[in-house]
Amino acid sequence: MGNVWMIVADTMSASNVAGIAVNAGAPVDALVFGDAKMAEDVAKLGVATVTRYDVEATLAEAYAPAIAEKAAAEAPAAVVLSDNATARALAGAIAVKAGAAVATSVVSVNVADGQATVEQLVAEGEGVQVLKASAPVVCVIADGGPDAEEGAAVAVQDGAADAADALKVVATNAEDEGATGLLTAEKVVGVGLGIGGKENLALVNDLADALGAAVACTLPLCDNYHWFEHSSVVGTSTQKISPRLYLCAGSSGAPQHMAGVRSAKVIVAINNDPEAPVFRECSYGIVGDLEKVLPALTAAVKGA
Amino acid sequence: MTSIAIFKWAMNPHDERVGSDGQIKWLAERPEVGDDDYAAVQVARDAAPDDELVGLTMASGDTAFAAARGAERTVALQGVDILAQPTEVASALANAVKAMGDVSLVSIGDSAWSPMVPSLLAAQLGWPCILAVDAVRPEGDTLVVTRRFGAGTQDVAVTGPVVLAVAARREEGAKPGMRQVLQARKRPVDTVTASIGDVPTLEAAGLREPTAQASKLFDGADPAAAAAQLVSALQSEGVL
Ligand SMILES: Cc1cc2nc3c(=O)[nH]c(=O)nc-3n(C[C@H](O)[C@H](O)[C@H](O)COP(=O)(O)OP(=O)(O)OC[C@H]3O[C@@H](n4cnc5c(N)ncnc54)[C@H](O)[C@@H]3O)c2cc1C
Ligand SMILES: Cc1cc2nc3c(=O)[nH]c(=O)nc-3n(C[C@H](O)[C@H](O)[C@H](O)COP(=O)(O)OP(=O)(O)OC[C@H]3O[C@@H](n4cnc5c(N)ncnc54)[C@H](O)[C@@H]3O)c2cc1C
Repeated sequence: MGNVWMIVADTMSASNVAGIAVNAGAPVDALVFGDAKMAEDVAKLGVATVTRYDVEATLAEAYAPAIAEKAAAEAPAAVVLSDNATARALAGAIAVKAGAAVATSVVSVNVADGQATVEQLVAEGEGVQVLKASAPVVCVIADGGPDAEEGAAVAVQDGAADAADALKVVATNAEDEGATGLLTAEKVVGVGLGIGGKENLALVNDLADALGAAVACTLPLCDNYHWFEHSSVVGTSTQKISPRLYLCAGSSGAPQHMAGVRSAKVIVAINNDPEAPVFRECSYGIVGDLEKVLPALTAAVKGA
Repeated sequence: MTSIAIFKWAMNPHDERVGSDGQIKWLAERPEVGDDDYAAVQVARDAAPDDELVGLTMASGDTAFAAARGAERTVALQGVDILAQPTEVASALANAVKAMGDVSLVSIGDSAWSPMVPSLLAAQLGWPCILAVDAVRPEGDTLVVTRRFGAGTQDVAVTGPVVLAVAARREEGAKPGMRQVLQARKRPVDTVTASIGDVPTLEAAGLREPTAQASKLFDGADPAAAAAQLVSALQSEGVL
C-alpha cells in the first residue's frame, strides 16, 4: 500500500522516470519489461525493488491483465512511466483495474499519507498545474526531466505473470540501432529545411566533426529531398534521442520534431527567424543566417 | 461485424493558454484533426475490408473526416467537456463503442496530444491494446499488426476484439478530393450525448509558473561574437 511503482520498457527513459519516482517520498517498486541489462541498470537508480518480466517470448502487452491485478492488490499510490508505447499499454490496464486517475506531462509526484499530489506542465510549458489524487494515479512524465542519481544496486527479481493468449509475437524486425549512432551519441547536430541547399550540408558536417557529433535531420530532408536515410530522422515518426547536446540549425521546431529531442540535456537552436517556435524550447539560440553562423561556430569550437 | 475508427477526439495542446486570470483556457472549443487520424481510419479499413466501418468523433462542425476516407456512417459524441481528463474521455468513447454492439476492432490515433486515452479505452472495454501501430493485415481469423518496436518493428498476431492505436509516420499522402468530401457529407451522422461513467479524476489544486528559465538568445548579426558567447555558455554547462 502506498508505494510508488515505476514501469520501464525502454532504456532511454528509465533514468528520467526514476528521477521523478524516487523523489516522490515513498519506496519505489520498479517493474521492468525488457532484458537483464535493462533491469540491472534500473536496479542502480535508487529503487526499493526491481522485478523483471521476460519479453523475449511474449510481448509485454500480453501481461497487462496480470499486472493490472497485481496493481489492484498492491494498491500503489502512484504509477510512473514515460510515454513509451508498451509502458502506456500496461498503464491503461493498471489504471482501470486499480481505479486510478491519470495525469500526463508530469514533472513531479509527491506521496504523503498514501495519497499523491502531481504537477503537470500545461499550455506548452507556460504553466505548471497542481493536481490532487484521492485514489491511485497513473503519471506519464514529461520528457527532459532530471535523471535519477545512481547508487548501489538492489537485487533483480524474476517476475512471473500469466500472458493473455489473444496476442502473439510472429516476427521482430529489429533495425540496426547502431547504424547512425544517434541513440548513443553524446552530441548531435540536427539539420532542417533552412539549410537551403545540399552544398550547405558541408557546413553542418564541419561543425559535427569539430564537435565530435552525429548528424540528424528533420523529416522533409529525408522524405522530400532524400539527402538522408530515414534512420537519420528524429521525431515522432522515427526515434527519440537523448544526447547531452542537441544543436539544430535551420529547423522551425515543429512538435513532431521536438518530441524526438526533448530528452536532450541542452538544446541549442540556430534560426534566422526570431519567432521560430524552436526558440521557445531551447536553452540557447543564435538568431541569424546559418550560412554565416555555422562556420563561425565551427571556428569557435575548434578554438575552444 | 463493425470496425470503428475514432477521429477528432483530442484537444491540440497548442491551443492551451494560461489566461490573465491565472486559469487554463482553450483557444479552440472542440478537438481537432490529429496527425494520426487518417492513419487510424486506414488501419480500420485494412483490418476488416468487408465489415461495416463507422467513424466515431468528439468533433462538432465538420464530421465527415472518416466518411471521406471510407466510413459508411459516423457517430458524433457531444457533451464531453474540453477540460475532461483522460479517464473521462476514454469512458465516453468506451460507452459509445459498447452502444454500437457487435464491434470487432477499434482504431484510434496514438496521439502525442493525449497519450493515455487509447489504452484506457481498451481496458475499459476489457480488450487487449497495441500502441504505436504502423499497419495491419488480416490472415484468416487473426489480424497481424505491425507496430514500432525499438528502432525496428514487430508483427503481432491478434485474435478477438482489439484496440489499435495508430501512429502516422508522415502527413497523409493523397487527401480525399472535393468530390469525396461532398459525398461524405451526405453520409449519415448520428449525434449522441456522451455517457461518462463514474471514473476517477484528479482535483485541480492551483497553477504556478514553471521554474525553468527562458531560452538565452544571442544575436547572430555578429556571427563570431555570437559563436564565442554560445561556446562559453556550453562550456559552463559542461556539454562541450
Ligand atoms: C504524422 C507526422 C509525423 C511527422 N514526423 C516527423 C518527425 O519524426 N521528424 C520531423 O522532423 N518532422 C516530422 N514531421 C514533419 C513536421 O511536422 C515538420 O513539417 C518538419 O519537422 C519541419 O522541418 P523543418 O524544421 O526542417 O522545416 P521548416 O518547418 O520549414 O523550418 C525551416 C526553418 O529554417 C529557418 N531558416 C530558413 N533559412 C534559414 C537560414 N538561412 N538560416 C537559419 N535558419 C533558416 C526558417 O526560419 C524555419 O524556421 C511529421 C509530420 C507529420 C504530419
Ligand atoms: C500560473 C500563472 C498565473 C498567472 N497569473 C496571471 C495574472 O494573475 N494576471 C495576469 O495578467 N497574467 C497572469 N499570468 C500570465 C498570463 O498567462 C499571460 O500574461 C497571458 O498571456 C495573459 O495575456 P492576456 O491578458 O492576453 O490574457 P487572455 O486574454 O486571458 O489570453 C491568453 C492568451 O490567449 C490569447 N488569446 C485569447 N483569446 C484568443 C483568441 N480568440 N484567438 C487567438 N488568441 C487568443 C491571448 O493573445 C493570450 O496570448 C499568469 C501565468 C501563469 C503561468
